[in-house]
Amino acid sequence: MGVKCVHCGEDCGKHPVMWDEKPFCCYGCKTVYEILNVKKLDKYYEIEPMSGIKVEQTDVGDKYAYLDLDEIREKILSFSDSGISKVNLFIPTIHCASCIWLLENLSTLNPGIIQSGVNFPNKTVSITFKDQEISLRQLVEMLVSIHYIPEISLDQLDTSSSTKASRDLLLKIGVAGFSLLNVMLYNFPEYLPGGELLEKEFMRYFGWLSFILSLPVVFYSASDYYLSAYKGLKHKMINIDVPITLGIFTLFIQSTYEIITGSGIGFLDSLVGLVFLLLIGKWYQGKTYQALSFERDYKSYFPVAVTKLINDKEESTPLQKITTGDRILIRNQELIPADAKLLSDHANIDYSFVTGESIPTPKKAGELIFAGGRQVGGIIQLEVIHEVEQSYLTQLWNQDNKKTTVNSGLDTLINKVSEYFTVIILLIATIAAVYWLFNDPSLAVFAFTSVLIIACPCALALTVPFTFGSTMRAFGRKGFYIKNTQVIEDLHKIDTIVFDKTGTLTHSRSMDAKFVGDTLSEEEQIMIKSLAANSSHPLSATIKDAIPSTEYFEVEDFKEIPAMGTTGLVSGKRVNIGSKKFVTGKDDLDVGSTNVYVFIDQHIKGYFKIENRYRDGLKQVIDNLKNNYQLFLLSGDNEAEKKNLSPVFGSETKLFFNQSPTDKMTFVKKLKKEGRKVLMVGDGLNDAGALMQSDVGLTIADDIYSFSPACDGIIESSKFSIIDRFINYTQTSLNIVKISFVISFLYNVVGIYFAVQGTLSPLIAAILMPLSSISVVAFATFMVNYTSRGIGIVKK
Amino acid sequence: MVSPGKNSTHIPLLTYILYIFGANQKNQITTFVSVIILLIIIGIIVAGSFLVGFIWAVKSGQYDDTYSPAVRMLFDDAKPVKKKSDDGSQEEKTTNEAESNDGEESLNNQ
Repeated sequence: MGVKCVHCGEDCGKHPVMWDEKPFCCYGCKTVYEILNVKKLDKYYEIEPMSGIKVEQTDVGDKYAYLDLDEIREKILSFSDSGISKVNLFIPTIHCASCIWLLENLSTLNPGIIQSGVNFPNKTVSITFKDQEISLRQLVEMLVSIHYIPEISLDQLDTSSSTKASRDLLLKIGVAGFSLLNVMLYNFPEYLPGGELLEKEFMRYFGWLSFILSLPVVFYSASDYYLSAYKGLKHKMINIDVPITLGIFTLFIQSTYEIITGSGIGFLDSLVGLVFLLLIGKWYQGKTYQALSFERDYKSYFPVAVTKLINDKEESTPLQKITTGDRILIRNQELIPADAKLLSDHANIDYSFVTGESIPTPKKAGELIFAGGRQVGGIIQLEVIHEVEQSYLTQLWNQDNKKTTVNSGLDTLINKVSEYFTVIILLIATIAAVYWLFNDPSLAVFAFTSVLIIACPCALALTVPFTFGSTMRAFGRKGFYIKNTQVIEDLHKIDTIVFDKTGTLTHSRSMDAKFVGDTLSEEEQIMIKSLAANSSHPLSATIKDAIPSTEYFEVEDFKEIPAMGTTGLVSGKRVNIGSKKFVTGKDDLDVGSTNVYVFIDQHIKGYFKIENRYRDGLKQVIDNLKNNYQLFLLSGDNEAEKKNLSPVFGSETKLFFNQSPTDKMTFVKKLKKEGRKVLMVGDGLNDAGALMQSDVGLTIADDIYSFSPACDGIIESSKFSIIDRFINYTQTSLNIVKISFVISFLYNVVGIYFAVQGTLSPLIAAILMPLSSISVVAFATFMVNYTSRGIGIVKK
Repeated sequence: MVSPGKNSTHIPLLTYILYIFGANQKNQITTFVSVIILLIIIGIIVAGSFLVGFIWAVKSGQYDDTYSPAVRMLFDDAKPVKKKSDDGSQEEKTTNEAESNDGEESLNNQ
């Protein structure tokens, strides 16, 4: 181990970049340190040492030129008036206290910045700045220079609705909590021995006070439940909110009656407590991963603007204005936004976004390049063939946007239970009322309302939020992030799993290289490695990693020929590595595999066979899932890998190759038509259609904050080996829900026992209702935390 | 369970408490009753002001990010080299931010 970089903490290797007597792993990190040091912001490194971000490439060039366009500026700025503007930028790399400190001291870096504030859970920074002193483009470029690269796209700018909803819920909880504490205080004397001897006056005062305080709870805090119940009934289904609404209204009317007539103080404390607990449950369940985006459409991938050539002059143009026939310029690492024809001689397109395959595909002039590819290498010129909206992938995406949310919530467990529950409760209440009508008519109404009151399914309604909410958190701690709690139930129901291959079952960034040919001496190995180290091509990096030596030779006369290979003089000898055509002069006829040929000093030594590396634990995961689920594999690649995959999947799994994105989507559609519940596991844009069509779509991501197509859950790629445990755990989770249901039913039986006799006093209600809720919540939360401990533990 | 009987032999709790405090005359007990009413009014005012405070806190966005304020608080303490005035203005800015947030949001809403 060498020394660690002061900025990012990575190993510096043998020759660290030194500055101010401190080691750095690369010039990028050194530059950031320099900037911060000069501006006296070096406290950054004290708050959390080595917290900086390593970035491979910081030369932005004109990449952000589009931020100077007025129409784009207007969309991105959240506020702009009389020279002062405010902007919210999403910076996925915000990760620690140092980040917060630095981003909030941006004004030190540039006096044009008035104020900046970080929202940590959202990973955004809002910056207020003076237009005259610093432009939006300069601001963004400054952030890039300190390695905080904002992700700018047009669709992530409206996040305000979600914050508003969460604020609303907090307000409702606050109001309910305020009322609860006061109402409890007023009702308390009633429950004490001797309380009945209090003067009648007091009871009346307290009753009316409770009544006034419960009004905002009934009409404001609980309003969402009425709305949801109404919506459910409109769709002819009884969801859990129907009996809740029924209970709340009965409680309120019964209590109001008692207070007005002066016959008692009512059940208002129970009512307010009920609403308060329900809202807490809702809050607990609704806490999601704010910085993760589960609903991206193609807009979040594509650049905001591209460079267009008009009469040989470069001009930054918003993406929407690109039309067929336009000539565009795409630079290194830029995304191709629309299907286009290549005008330059060569291009190297990395389709890893689309297919998960990271080896760039060489293209020649005149070839068609699909949108979604990324150019690796020099600047290329393209002619747009289809507009952005009409491009192959975006169209695929748009088709699926029609997928509605009709099926959500229709057949959830809780709604099924509440259907029976509501009917049974109404039945019991009616029977009790009829019974008393004949025996003691004065008790008939009270018995009826008592049953509805005590049976109000508070505990029942809290079970799911707390069980699934805890499960969601447990999953999150272990590297599996789901969109909402509904996914847990959906995941439990699946019977079919469809896998994508490239990038999902295989590593997307690292491959295996096996040498086939003459035995290489150690010196030759080092020569190859030294040459490979100079090239930026992913295959070179693979070969470099495959050779264990730590030494390097000097490389002279280095040349990289796009789509062909690299060449150089290593210790005086000519070394070529690259395609068969480049090294041997013959065409490569073996299309099934990727080979890199090696030529050293007059001799062709052989070739490196590059193979996808399967994720660790693949065999085990498949073995565990094979017995319970029907598995399918869909690959966009050719059948070359079939021989490797067949032993893993076994004979009963069907493997499909050469699948286009549309094929994948129709395949999943077909499975669903057969009545299957489908889990799709994918990674790239080519899986987007299939992911959306499936009942549950999971995305495997190396970096959870970026580049995942719309899905229901994101799983960290390192956690692939325990994916089966997550799926199996949903069964445990559902069992906990069922046990909790039983517990809450038992409480209900006790309550109904009093209610049907017409002896339900406010005291029983005040004890029974919160007790049942709290014990169910405690049980569910504890059980989930207890049983989920084992998920993340890797068996060796 | 307490059954509301009319001829209960329980000692009324209030009377009992008042007795402990030495109140054995009727007018003293009446005073106590009015004290309770006063206390309730005070109680509502205090709780109500907390509620108002809470509503303000939510609306000004203080609950949107519950992580960074905890960290941010430590920054100022650990900044002995910086000038006092810097710290002061820093604080002012943060409060201003909350207000300006408010203002902008109402702007946006309109």
